[in-house]
Amino acid sequence: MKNKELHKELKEQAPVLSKLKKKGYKPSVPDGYFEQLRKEVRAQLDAPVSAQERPVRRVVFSPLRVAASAGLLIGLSFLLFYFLRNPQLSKTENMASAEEIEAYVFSHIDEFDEDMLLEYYVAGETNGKEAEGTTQEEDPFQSIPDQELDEYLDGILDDIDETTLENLL
Amino acid sequence: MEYVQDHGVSVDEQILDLLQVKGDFDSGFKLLMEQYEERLYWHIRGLVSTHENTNDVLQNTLVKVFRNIDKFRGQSKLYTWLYRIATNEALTFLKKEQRRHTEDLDGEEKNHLNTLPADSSVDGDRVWQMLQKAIEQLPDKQKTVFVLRYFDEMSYRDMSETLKTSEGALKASFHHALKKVEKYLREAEMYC
Repeated sequence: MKNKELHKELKEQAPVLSKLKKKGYKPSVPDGYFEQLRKEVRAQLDAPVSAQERPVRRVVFSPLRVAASAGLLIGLSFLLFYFLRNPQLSKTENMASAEEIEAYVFSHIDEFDEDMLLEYYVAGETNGKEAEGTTQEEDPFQSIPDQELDEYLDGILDDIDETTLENLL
Repeated sequence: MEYVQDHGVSVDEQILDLLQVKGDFDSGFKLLMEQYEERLYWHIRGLVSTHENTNDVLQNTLVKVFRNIDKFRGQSKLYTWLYRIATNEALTFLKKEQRRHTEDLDGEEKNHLNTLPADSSVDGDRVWQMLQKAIEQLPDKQKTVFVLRYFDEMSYRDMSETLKTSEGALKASFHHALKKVEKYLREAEMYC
């Protein structure tokens, strides 16, 4: 043991380890290992860096892959050609009619606020589509059942504090 | 650490002169390997135990050393720089091994220590195996300090440079590691 300080440490703190150290046990190493190591390290250093760090990924062109790719390409080309020839397909076929929209709005009236209802009305007027039995001068809420309208306004009034209400009046 | 002197120039200086200044890679490679291959081998073997694992880690270490030697600016000794790279490579290897071991779902015990011969007739191998089992229970930091001090006989000053840790902390780590390894060997009745 070259290091006297270490020898002292081991003797005082770890007698078993001290004895093992003195006997110098070492496991076996294959014969000629270090000569072989030099060759292998040298070979790795001589190999191009790009070839080692970025391994080339081989693309395999199997017949099944080629057939699947070709089929997909033909299918997409056909769909594109079909839609270009029939532009109306992407426009109005699936759109709901005005009557259906109106029925939806009335059945979900509680979910709309006053501003939305006004927008709906104004939009209907702008498009020249007057609601059935409603003219431009008439109350826009005429078609809404009175009971529903009262409940809705009561709800708003409950949410407003007295001071704000006085200011509004 | 002993340096072989040649006309007042240390071997480390000769290695750096050949590799960095003169660009004589063949001579620099030969000198560095002669000086360090065995020391680094035993340092790594102390950490990863088997020859096969040591060979993998050592090759990676040496390739990294030669690829980055031009970036070495002499802020530390070449010797401690080499040991730092070797230690990092070995600890990274051990972490990967531990991860692979825990991810192994078949429950089969694949601890690398169990790949060592269980009933070796060679005393050296048997003692080494027992020592490795004792070292394996240590945390990484204590394991590294133990190997650097016990096997490599590195001074605390050089260890401090290698591991970037204070000498006081290293002495404490080595003391704890010694106690644990000694206790393990006593319990295993390794009285020699």
